[in-house]
Amino acid sequence: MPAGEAPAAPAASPPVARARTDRWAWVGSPLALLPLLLVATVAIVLLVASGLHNFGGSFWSTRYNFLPGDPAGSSWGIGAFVAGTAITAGLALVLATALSLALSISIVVYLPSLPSRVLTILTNLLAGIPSVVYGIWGFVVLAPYFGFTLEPGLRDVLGWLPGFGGPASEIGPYGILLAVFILTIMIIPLTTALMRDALRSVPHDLIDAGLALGATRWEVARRVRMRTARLGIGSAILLGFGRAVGESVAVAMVIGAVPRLPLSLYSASTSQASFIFYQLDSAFFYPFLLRFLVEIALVLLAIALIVNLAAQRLTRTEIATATTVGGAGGP
Amino acid sequence: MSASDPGAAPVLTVEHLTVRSPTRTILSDVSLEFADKEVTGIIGPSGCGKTTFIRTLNRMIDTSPGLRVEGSVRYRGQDIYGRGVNPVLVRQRIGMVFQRPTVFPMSIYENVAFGLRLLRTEEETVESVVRRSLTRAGLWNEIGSNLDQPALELSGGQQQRLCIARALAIEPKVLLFDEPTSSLDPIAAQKVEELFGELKKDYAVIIVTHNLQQAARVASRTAFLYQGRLIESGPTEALFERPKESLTQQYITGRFG
Amino acid sequence: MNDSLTGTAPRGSRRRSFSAGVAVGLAVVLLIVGVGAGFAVGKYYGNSTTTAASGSCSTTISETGSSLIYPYLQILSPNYTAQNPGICLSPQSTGSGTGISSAESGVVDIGGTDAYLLPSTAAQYNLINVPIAISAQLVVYNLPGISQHLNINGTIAAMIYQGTITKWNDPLIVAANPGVSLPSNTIVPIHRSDGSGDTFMWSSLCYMSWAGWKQGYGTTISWPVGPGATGNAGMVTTLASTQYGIAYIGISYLSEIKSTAGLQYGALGDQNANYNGSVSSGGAGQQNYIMPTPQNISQDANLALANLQPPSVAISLILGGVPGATNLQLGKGGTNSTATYTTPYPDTNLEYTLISLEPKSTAHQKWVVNFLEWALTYGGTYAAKANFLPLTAEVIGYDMLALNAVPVSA
Repeated sequence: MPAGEAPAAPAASPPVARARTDRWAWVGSPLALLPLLLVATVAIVLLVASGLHNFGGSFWSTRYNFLPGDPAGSSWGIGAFVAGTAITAGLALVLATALSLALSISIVVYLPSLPSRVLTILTNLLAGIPSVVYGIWGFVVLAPYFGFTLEPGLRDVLGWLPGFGGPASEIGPYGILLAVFILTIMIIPLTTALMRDALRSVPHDLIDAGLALGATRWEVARRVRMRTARLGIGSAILLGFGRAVGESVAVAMVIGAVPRLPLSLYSASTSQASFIFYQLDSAFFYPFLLRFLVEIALVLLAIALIVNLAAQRLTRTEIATATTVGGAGGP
Repeated sequence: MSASDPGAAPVLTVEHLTVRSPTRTILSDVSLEFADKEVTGIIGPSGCGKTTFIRTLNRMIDTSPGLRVEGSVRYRGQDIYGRGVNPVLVRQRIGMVFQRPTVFPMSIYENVAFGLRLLRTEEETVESVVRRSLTRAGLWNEIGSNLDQPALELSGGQQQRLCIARALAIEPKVLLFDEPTSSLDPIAAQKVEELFGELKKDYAVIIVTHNLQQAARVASRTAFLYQGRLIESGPTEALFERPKESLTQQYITGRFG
Repeated sequence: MNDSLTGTAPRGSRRRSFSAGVAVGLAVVLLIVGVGAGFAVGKYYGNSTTTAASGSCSTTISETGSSLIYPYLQILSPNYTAQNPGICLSPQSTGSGTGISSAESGVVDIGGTDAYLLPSTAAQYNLINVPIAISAQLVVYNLPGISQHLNINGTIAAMIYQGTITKWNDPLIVAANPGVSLPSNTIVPIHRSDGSGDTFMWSSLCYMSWAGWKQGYGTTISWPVGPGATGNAGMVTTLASTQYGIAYIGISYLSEIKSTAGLQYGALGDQNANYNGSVSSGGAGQQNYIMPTPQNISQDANLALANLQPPSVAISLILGGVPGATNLQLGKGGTNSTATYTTPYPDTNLEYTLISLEPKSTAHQKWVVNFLEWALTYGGTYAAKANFLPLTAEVIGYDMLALNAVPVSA
């Protein structure tokens, strides 16, 4: 599992040192705490940099109004950014989860070994493509299609659905819909790989048992594999969410970047990470803008930490339960 | 129910069954009949093909890629390898319990109800069938009050009997057991063994075992497989006391295996 | 119970094949997406320009900053090295803010920026502003059925971007465009979402033209209405798909604008519009609408310099050049009292480089100054390739004076 595991990686002190003398044993625990200290240091540095200037009542409001000549008269609400992040990452996650499940099930269960291997290699390859490439693809190739064809069409046909209607002026090449699409394509390889591993690790005995009870392959996939691998699938989803939440470049290129609550799926909006990315240069001109960006980054750090810790917890629980499957009994 | 007369035509008829892998022949020209309401034991040393054989009887063999099956296995006259046969239907008639307990990570109740859910059975029926199946597997008194408990928390022996209850719930006609007690401690194994006397009243029961005493205790007929060939079969008592073949003689007296 | 083994399972096994089909279908979609991404990448790398070989560089002049200046320096670099063997220029496109901060901290020889550094800040860090090219900004719109150059002035622009004017047939726009039949559709004002010199210029124009403008001016501001787009390329794409939209786009994108169906650029009004937005007609103070021709743009750049007292290159050229008006207040440069030109384009900007008056090595700084002098002398022939306008002789003269003050050694 590539992402998310990092903070727990370095183990205790090297066994050689410990074997020689216990005098150095205390080195072990700080080493294990190193990643934690690192994160804490980053958080503290960011906190100091921001000076905790804006945290308070209006910090969570959705009103952001930046006046370059008048920092005191500006409004520094972070709500629109958090909402934009939640909407884009959340929708992308729902789509990516459905598609990744279908893909990983077809790889593990349905496809013959050659196409299954080709798909595996392909998803691994896609996982290695830098996000900026997805971004530029969306910016150049997809954006005109979204603005001219897809979004007007969707609005005509699905306008009655919440989010798909709204004023026609919201339609444009860059906006939430394209960001969601790019994010979905971007996280599918990761979630597919993780789900595939989770589904593959289901003991073969259980698959046989399901088939012997008169279940079809699909029923076994759904009721036995997915059920048994549900924690692994859950942690795949969380890690995918973590990636979607933190993506800056690709989203910045396609979301339209207007810090306000969207009126529809076609609206230009923004996310925390992308806003930091495309405002960074201006922050050199306006110190108070830099401070605000740091605060957005702090909130993002908190979200990413929570998501990754939750994913790790799930992974660990899964290992714990996997060892008991079919393992009880025996002399 | 259209069940035919007991003792009349066999439930399962195996004729000239040969199973080949790309590199070798695993089963060679096996012919054997299984009667209803009777326990048949299949014995033989490790690697003799007993597990492969029992997996051909309900087409679980389909899950092993690269194996070719020749000859026929007929269930009440229909070749289960025939054209148009749906293996899902075969497995509903011919249930199977495996060497190690294979409970699913869900509650006891949902484990037993698994096959019924596939059939979209009404909840009322499910409840009564779960109760009946657990009772027949000798589990109701032990865990009947804890049906919402995760099945993985049961002991190994209880898990294996739960698997039997789960197989019974979909009302099969034939029950296949592949070394059902080999992963259990002696007491748990005994409890499972005790069930066979009950089960044979309603089902054709086929047990693969490497435990000769177990075969002698529970089976009324026994077949001996060696290196993929059927050496001898017949009433258990006759096979153990007056084997016709010298290989059988050597095996049951412990000279190999 | 039926004992037959043939046929379907007693429930929808059709669903199984359906979901298998869905899975395979999705796999195919993913494949297509992958291949498409590959082609997009290929397209981009295929068009990339090659830079000069850096193998034989004995001295490397480092530059970072404005993404607008970057293509120009890319073009200058190999030509300069060809005439000065062993001396290379290594430019980087990072953004004007980075250009300024890197010049201040001294990590690069040259900082590139779309906005001049305030003279007071420049003095604090011992930096000087050296304009290297002229750029201008176009007001572009997507109005179905209207192909002529419309007249827009700063007041109208500010009102549109503030959300005060919402329809194309607003009386103010109609009055500025006699004889044009304007539609009643809602205007969609599009802005740059990333920090940019273009936003600095456009918000300056709004700020200086209308007292009702509330958002100030800067490289990034909060826009009350309208969608955002990233980069000038994003502005063109967004405007192209937004009927009745309006946008501000750097003149370096003129060819893209001309080749995109439905887009047209307008003439901008000079300072002679009243703050209340009414347009006076006839006589003194009559509103002129000026097209972004090279000549008009150069006039604006020259005006500022020729008549500014005291002379300074750290100036805003926005709305520059109206006789008697104090219209260079952004640069706090002074009063522009007389005008010798009649049609200065009001949305024009100098592109700046920043270099140090206290270099770490005066021997190295010799080459930095040498490069800038070369660029000022010969750059004019390359400016058009980067869609810039060549500096005028007056601006170059001020630049050369400024460079003389930089300490160098042989």
